[in-house]
Amino acid sequence: MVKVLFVLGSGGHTTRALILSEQLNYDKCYIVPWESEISKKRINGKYYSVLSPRFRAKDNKIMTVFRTLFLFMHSLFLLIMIRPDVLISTGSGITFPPFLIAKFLGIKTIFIESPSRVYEPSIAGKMLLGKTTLWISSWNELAKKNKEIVYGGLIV
Amino acid sequence: MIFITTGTSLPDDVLIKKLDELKGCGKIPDVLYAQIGNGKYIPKNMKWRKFVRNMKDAYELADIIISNCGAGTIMENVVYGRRLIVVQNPGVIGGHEWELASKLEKLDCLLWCKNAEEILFYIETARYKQFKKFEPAIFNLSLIRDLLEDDKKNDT
Repeated sequence: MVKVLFVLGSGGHTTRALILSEQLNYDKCYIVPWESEISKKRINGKYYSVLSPRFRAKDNKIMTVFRTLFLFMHSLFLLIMIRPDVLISTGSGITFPPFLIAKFLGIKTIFIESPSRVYEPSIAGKMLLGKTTLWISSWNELAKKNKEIVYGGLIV
Repeated sequence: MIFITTGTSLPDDVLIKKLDELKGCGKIPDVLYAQIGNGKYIPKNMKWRKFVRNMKDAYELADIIISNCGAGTIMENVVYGRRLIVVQNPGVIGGHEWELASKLEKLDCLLWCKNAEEILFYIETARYKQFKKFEPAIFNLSLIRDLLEDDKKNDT
């Protein structure tokens, strides 16, 4: 059975990931930012909490660097332990570290950009261009911008 | 009834104050109902709540919906072809929500008011305008399935 690991965030990112997750009939588990209590309540399955790099918007930069490094280490540990076949993210802010680790471990990655990005990719999206197995946009306008981007439509 | 919703994390005092004044001097005959989030301006001439629990009912009952550019609110309403005016929040600098607003304005699914001072003109326009129902292109699941089925073939 194919094992899928979803990288969740909060709010709309999680909503889309969970809709997609229901449509895929595979073995599924989830990474959730530790502080997203609401996201955790909505998951129907096994999940792992991780420290998110931007805990609060006003956090100082040194702490953010520490948290990011910790998330890299934690991602390495989780990916070795879970051994998923693929990572899927719908645009969560915590996507970059686990995706980069997955690339080094030879695990496939799918990034699905937020539907609010019609013309320009998000910061996470830009950082991941060229580093994922699949980079999917919700709009044709964005797909035309870059050869790496595949148009996929809207998750509703 | 006109329902106004500003972001719960990013309130918009300018918009609420402007509408409250317009209502106060009799320029808007409709009942106004607003979710003001953590906004500091307390309206005098309209019904308001900090957080509206049942947004769906409010959307359905409203003749016109006025909202900030939040992707969630936009999507929830354009798929039903509701009379929606989105107002750019001056407090959000360098945001990306305008991308979705601009795209859907081009498709005639909403009205985009770039300056809260001009809101009365947009309310009058919204009364007579034909709003097109947005029919999203459903996400192409086979993009993911094809990638994962390759996995299975490699396993055997």
